[in-house]
Amino acid sequence: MSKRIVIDPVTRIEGHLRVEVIVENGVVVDAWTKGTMFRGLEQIIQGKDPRDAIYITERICGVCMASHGWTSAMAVETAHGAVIPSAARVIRNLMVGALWLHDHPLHFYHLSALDYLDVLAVKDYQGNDQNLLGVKAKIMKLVEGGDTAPLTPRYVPDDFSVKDPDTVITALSHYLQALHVQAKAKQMSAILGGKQPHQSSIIVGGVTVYPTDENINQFRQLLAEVVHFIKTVYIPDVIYFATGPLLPLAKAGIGKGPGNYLSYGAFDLDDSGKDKLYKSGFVSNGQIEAFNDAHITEAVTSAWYRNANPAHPWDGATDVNLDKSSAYTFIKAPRYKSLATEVGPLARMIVAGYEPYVKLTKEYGIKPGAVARHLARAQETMLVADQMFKWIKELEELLEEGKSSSLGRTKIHDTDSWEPPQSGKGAGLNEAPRGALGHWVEIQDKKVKNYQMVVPTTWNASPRDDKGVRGPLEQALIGLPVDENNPANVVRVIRSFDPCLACAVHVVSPKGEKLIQI
Amino acid sequence: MREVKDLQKKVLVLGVGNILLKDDGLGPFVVKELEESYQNSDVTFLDGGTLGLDLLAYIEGHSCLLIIDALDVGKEPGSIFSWEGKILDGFSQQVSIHDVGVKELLLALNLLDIDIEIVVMGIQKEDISWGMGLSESVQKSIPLLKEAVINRLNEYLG
Repeated sequence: MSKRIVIDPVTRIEGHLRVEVIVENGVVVDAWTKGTMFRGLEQIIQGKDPRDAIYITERICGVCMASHGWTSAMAVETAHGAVIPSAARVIRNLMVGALWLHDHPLHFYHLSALDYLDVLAVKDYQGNDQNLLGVKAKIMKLVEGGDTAPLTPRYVPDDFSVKDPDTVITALSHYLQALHVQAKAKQMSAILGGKQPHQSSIIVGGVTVYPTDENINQFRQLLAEVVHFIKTVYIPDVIYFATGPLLPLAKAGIGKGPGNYLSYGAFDLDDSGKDKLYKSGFVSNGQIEAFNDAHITEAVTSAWYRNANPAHPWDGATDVNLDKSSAYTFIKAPRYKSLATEVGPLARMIVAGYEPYVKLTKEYGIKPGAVARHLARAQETMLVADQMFKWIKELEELLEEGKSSSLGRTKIHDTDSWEPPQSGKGAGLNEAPRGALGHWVEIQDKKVKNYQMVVPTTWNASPRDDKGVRGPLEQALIGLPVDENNPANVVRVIRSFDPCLACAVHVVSPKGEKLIQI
Repeated sequence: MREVKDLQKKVLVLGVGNILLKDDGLGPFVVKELEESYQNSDVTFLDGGTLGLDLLAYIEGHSCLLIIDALDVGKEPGSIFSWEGKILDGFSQQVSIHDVGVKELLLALNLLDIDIEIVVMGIQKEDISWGMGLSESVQKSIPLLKEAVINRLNEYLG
C-alpha cells in the first residue's frame, strides 16, 4: 500500500514550499520539493546601475538582507576592481555577524523546537518557579481561548516528542526569552548599518557609516548580552536535546542528505581574503578538496525554465516555460561536480572539521542528519560569537590608527573604484546563515547585462537534475519512518535545513466586521 | 483633562511589503512619502520591507502600530480599507499572510504581553507580480490613503 502525502505549504519556514512524499509500509520511498513561487529578481536588475544591485537584492529577503547586500557588493566590487579597506572589512563582519547571532537561535526556538515539544504538557507542570508558572498561565490562557498560535499548527506529538512538563516549560520560557534577545541582536546590526531594517551602509567599495566610540560601546554591550544568552541558554538547550531526548533520532541519522557538503567560506580574517572564519571546501565520501566555483552548474530539467544544458551561473538564463511536462518547481538544480550537494551549518562544520562539533558527534555517535543540523547550527554560532569580540577590538585599533593619519580618520571606503567600468564581470561567493550564497554580475556599457544568484535553499531544496538525481532535501526524506496520518518526521527533516524561499508576498487579507472601506 | 496615559501616545507607522513585487511595495512607498511630508515627534515612520519578527526591535516604546500594506479583500483594485483592534481580540485569526512575517510579529507581541493598538490601512492590490512600481489603480488611491492615515494619526494623538 502506498500513500501520497502532500504538505502545502510547509509552515514555519520563510516563503512557500510544497513537499510531496510517497509512503509505503511506514517509510518514505519517494519525495519532491516544490518551490511554487517564481523569483523574477534577475530580470529586474538587468539594465540597472550595478551599484543598485546591493539595494535591490537585499529586498528579496526579509531575513538575511545584509547577507545579500554584502554578497552583491562583493560581486560588483570584483567587476569594478574595488579593494575594500581593512576597517570596512571588519565593519561588514560585525554587521553581518550580528545577523547570524540573530538568525540561528531564532530558527531553533521559533521555527523548529515546536516540532519536538508537546506544548500542552505545560499544564502538568507542578513546580513553583514563578517565571515558569507565568509561562504556564500564559500558554493555558491561549489554549483556553482556542488560539495557540504561534505555538501551533503542529502535528500530534509522537514517540520523539518531549513530553516531560519540566523540560517543555523550560524550553518555552527560553522561547520567550529568545524573542527579546533577537531584538537586541537586531539592534546591533542597526548601530553599524545606518538606516534599518534594510541596511544602507554597505556600498560598492566599503561602508558609509563611520562608527563613533559611543556606537562601539553600545554594540559591545548588546553583544555581551546576546552572547550570554547563546552560551548559557541556546547552545546548552540544543546539546541537551541532541544528546538527550532526540539522541535516538540523532544516532539513526534521520534525514541524512546526499553526503556531499559544500562551503564557499566566509568572514575574511585578513585583507588577503585567504584566511576565513568559516573555511571553504567540498567534502564527498569523507574526502575534502579545495573549492573551485568553476565546478558549479545549474540544471533546469525539472524546473519551469526553457530547456538548456546544465550551465555555470555565468552562462545561466532564467527564461520561464510553464508548459514543460518534466518540470515541477521554480527552483533550479545547482550541482557541484555534477553532484547533489548540501550547504548550510552542517556542511560548514563538516568542511571545517570544527573540533567541538566533531568531538561531540563522535562521543555520542551522532550521524549527519536532522538533529546534527541543529547541533552544527548551534556550534557554529559559538564560532562567530567569540570572533565578534575580536573584531570589535580590531576595529578600535584601526580607528585609533586613523586618528594619526593625514586625514585624521580611517578609510572605510574605496572611492577610486566607485564608477562602474565599461564592461566587467564579478562573482560574490559568501556564506549566509542558511548556506553557500553566490551572486554573479556581468556589466556591459556600465549597466548590468546579466545577474544570477544561487541561494542556499536553491542547493538544498533543488529538484531532480538532468540525470534524474534528487536534490539534497528530497534525498534526506527517502527512507524516513513516517506515520501516514501524522507526518511529523517529514516536517522535522525539512525544517532542519532551515529552508528560506523568501521573496514572499506580504499582502494581508483582513476579514470581519472591523474591516471598513474608506 | 488628558490622562498620563494619553501623554505617552507614540505611533509607529510601519510600511510592509516587497518593493520588487509591484503593488506589494505599497507600504514602503507610502511610508517614504509620508515621512517627507508629515512631521510629528510622536510619530515614527519605518520601512519594514518583508521583515517579520525582526521588527519587534522597533516596536518597543510605541502605543500604537499603524501598518500600511497592500490588501487583498477581493474588492475593486484601488479601494481603500482600514482595520483596527487589539491583538488580543482575535486579530491572528482574521489576518492571513503566507509566511513568517507580520502575522508572526503580531503573535509574538501577544505572547510577550506587549499592549499596543493595531491599525491596518491599505489599498486593494491589482498586480503583485515581479517588477518595481505600483499599478495605476493603486497609485490613484494613494493621495486619499495618505489623507486617511494622517486623519487617523491626528485623531489618535488628539
